[in-house]
Amino acid sequence: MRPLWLILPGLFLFLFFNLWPIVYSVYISFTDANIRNFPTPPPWAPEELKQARPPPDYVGLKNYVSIFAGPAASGFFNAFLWTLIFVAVSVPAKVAVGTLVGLLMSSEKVLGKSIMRAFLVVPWALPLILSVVAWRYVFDPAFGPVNQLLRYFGVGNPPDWIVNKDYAYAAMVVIETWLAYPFIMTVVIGALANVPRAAYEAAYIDGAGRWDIFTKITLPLIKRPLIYASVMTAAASLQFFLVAFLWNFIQLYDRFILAYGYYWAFGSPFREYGLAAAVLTVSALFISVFMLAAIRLTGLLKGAYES
Amino acid sequence: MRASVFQTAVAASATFLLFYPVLQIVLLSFNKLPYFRIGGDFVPTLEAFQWVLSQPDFWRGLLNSLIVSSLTVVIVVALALPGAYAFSRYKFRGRDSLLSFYVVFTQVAGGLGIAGLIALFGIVSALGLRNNLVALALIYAAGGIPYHTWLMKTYMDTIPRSAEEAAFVDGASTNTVLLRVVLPMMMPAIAVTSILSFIGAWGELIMANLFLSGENRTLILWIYSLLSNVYSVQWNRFAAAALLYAIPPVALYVALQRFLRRGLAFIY
Repeated sequence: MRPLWLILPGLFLFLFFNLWPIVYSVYISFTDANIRNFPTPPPWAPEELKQARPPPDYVGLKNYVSIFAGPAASGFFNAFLWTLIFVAVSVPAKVAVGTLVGLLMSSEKVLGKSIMRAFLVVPWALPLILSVVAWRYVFDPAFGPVNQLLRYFGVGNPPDWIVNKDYAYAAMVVIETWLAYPFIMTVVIGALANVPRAAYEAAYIDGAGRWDIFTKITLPLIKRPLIYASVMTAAASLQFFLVAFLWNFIQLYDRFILAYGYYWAFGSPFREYGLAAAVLTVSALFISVFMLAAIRLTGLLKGAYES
Repeated sequence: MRASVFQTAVAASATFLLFYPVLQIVLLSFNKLPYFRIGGDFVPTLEAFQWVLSQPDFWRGLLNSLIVSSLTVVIVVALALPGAYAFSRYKFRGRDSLLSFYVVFTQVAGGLGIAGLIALFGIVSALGLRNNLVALALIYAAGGIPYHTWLMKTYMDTIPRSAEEAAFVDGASTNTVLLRVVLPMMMPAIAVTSILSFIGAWGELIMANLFLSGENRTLILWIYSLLSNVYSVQWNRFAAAALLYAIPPVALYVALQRFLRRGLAFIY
């Protein structure tokens, strides 16, 4: 009996504020919840208010029909497509930058690695909002170094990276790459840390060229960890939301699925909570299926338990 | 193999380029003008920081952030530590399945968090708990329970039971054993849980933005409001505000690295 009493308070708090809202959100996706009937007033609210705001009605699959074949379909499809493009572009960028820096930081020929590493993991340690502030200045249309450089090289009218939808989206790819490369880099450094130097030296003495050493020794060693890191970071790209929220949400809400769901609930003037819950439910399901499929296809868990 | 000038130069340039956005925001916060021209006109001054420290909203936000984050830490430790003790030291029905549920949930928490946001908004509003710092801390703590219960349980598993058993044999009461024997040995894990919970609560924006208003707004919401009116705030002041905001979590992150080297590396 005793151990349960030690667990229950924490478990109860978790179930009430974390798991229950998720279940309840799925229910909301089957209702017409919107600004007029949701949130329902507290129990101690006056009777008139309770009558003026009756709880949302059950509407069956209406919201799901709306996002797949109704008025919200094109917007949802759009957000979905742009999210997938974001994954397809940002994941290779993150893996490329992270691997390159990771290889450099594992190279015996580079001096001062420990100092550089301390600087390179900084994006990891910083609060996200500070990183976004720093990048907002980098991309600031008037004062930012990117546009100053563009002007210096003769681009008379450099783009507005905050207000223009497409340039803002491009900035998102750059920032996500910057935020995630420390993770990839750390994985690569970790994978190469245990390689006996003798392996390289033996290959070198046998006359293997640099490229041979890379493809025959280094690459096989980092392949598995890199696949693992790519899947994890692809999941992060799929769930990309906060930076877009901070950057310029009005321009970016319809380019990322979670942002699109958030917009219908808390950004749009009509506050279509039911519709938004349907968007978020479908998105969460998609993300879970993606994760499961990725784990299956890459044999991820097997590797994770072995190492 | 000898050091290569070329590779070192490439590595140093890459490091500089990747660190540049942060470097720039630090320099900007000390700059007299609110921007830099290429080639630099860096005139160091503390004026931007003085401006931040003269803002009442900064101090109110700081106080609210400290309250919410500290409360979150206290609640997480108070609830996860007993749970971890039960998972580590007792065998009971459902123990393994509950534990694996906690671990699996930890892996998928991020995306589901946004999915649950709408209902959470409804629940918190229906209970009349909007704009309540204690309620927000409870919500933050709730999200951390699975991970931190698991983390502290894993650490506790590495502590041999002999010390506790010896104390019991000596006739010590359960409470004495827990307070005098178990608690001191758990300190590194408690520190890690506290640091991570504090950083998490300090940096949370979406729920704080949804629930808090007026006097109760946390520091990150003030930074966020500056970010939305960036055209009316000068960049050097803005940089200074963001840097001051970032000091506690970055300092805690540095402190965390020490604990990770002392036998808690398994959390990554």
